[in-house]
Amino acid sequence: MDKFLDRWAGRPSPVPVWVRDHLTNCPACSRLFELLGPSPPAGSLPLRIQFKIEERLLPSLRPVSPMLPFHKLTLACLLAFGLPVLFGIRVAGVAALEAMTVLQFTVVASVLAAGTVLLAISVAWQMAPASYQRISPQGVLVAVVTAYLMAFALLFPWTAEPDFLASGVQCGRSGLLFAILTASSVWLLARRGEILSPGLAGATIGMLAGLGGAVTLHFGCPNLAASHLVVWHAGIPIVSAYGGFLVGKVLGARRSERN
Amino acid sequence: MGSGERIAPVLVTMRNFQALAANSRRGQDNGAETGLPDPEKTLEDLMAGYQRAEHAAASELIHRVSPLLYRFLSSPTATREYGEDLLQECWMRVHKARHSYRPGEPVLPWLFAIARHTRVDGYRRRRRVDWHEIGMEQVPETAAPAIPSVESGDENLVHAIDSLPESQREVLYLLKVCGMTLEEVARATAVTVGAVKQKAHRAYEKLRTELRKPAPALLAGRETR
Repeated sequence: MDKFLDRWAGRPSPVPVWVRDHLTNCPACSRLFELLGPSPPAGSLPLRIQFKIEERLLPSLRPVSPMLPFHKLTLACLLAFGLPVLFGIRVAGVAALEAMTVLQFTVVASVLAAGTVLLAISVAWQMAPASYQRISPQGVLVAVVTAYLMAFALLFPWTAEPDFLASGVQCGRSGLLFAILTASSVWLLARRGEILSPGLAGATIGMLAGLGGAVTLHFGCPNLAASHLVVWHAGIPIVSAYGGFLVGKVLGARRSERN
Repeated sequence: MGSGERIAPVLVTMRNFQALAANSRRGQDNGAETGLPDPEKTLEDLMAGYQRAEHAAASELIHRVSPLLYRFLSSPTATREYGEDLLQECWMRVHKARHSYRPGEPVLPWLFAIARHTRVDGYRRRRRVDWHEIGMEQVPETAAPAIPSVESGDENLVHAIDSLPESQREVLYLLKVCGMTLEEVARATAVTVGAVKQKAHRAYEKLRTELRKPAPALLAGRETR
């Protein structure tokens, strides 16, 4: 140890592993190492801590594949969204297509498509830390819900509906089922990233999944009363976003406890 | 003493840290002087090496970036050990998340984004612990003495910086100490460039106001805190 310190004080040389091991475990030598070396920048931490970090990390160091580029990740997210939705449309049918006008269908479909793309981009941003998020995730959530509600409120007739609850519960249940299916698919992809704000990411994934459920209803449900659409169709993304937020918070708290 | 005179020693202090940050990017700080390999490599090269499981690159990255992360994670109100523990936790997270770094992108925002969340989690844990604990038998050494050359002349500015809200202090640190660009700070803190500019502007305004106050007023303000 003394020989090494003598040599090291004179000129820079690699720090052998055995010296690091010793410095990690021996506060006295570690202090000597710091005193003899070039004066560390003021406010910096002791070298023994840095060696300790190395000691903890390096033994488990394995090669990893870097995350997909942003555009590929967004496409993967859209694919994870699209597959369950296609399945949902196949199961729920396309009865609504005959009932809606071209304008109604086009506007709602555009809102759903734009919302899906924005949310997929937001999920892809949140999967990689320090992504430059040009639109805030909270803003995307608010914008999607607002646009969806406005499309229903402005384009569909506000007629009295006798079995508002019975038909609504049926729509809500099937929409949420497809939302859960879509959420599972998107979550499988999202968990491969490093999500720093689990609550927000959960809400984003939840709303994306909710839109998946809403898309299947958009094709399958022929009930075009605005009250039905606003409550039971637009309610699905809102409920699933809230559910996603809660699930994210719980998972985040668990991860924090583990750390 | 005017605010210009009061600010001068602290600017020297900040320049020291800027030099450390610049050296961290270039690889000429104490980590490189300890003989770790290839000081010409950028942090981005080292991170790519870390992903390829190159021990030398990982080791050099740890030595270059840890002092900056430590300063970022340390809290003037917490113990020195707390900052060290948080730094180790932060590196564990970085290690687990290393696949989420995309080669070619700036490393510092990526690291600070993770460090920021580590600090928030640590703060929440500490609050939970503090809530249950009633008293301390002895006051531990705090991280505050680690602030370099805080002489009487610097105290006012240090106090003024401490009085900034956490989000403004964080932006100031990343911009002025770590030398990150506005976009890099925006990436690290998950906000827009406009929000970063606004926070920095408010921080400068507040510092300016604080430093225009006569010294006794500042000290009186501190005593009431």
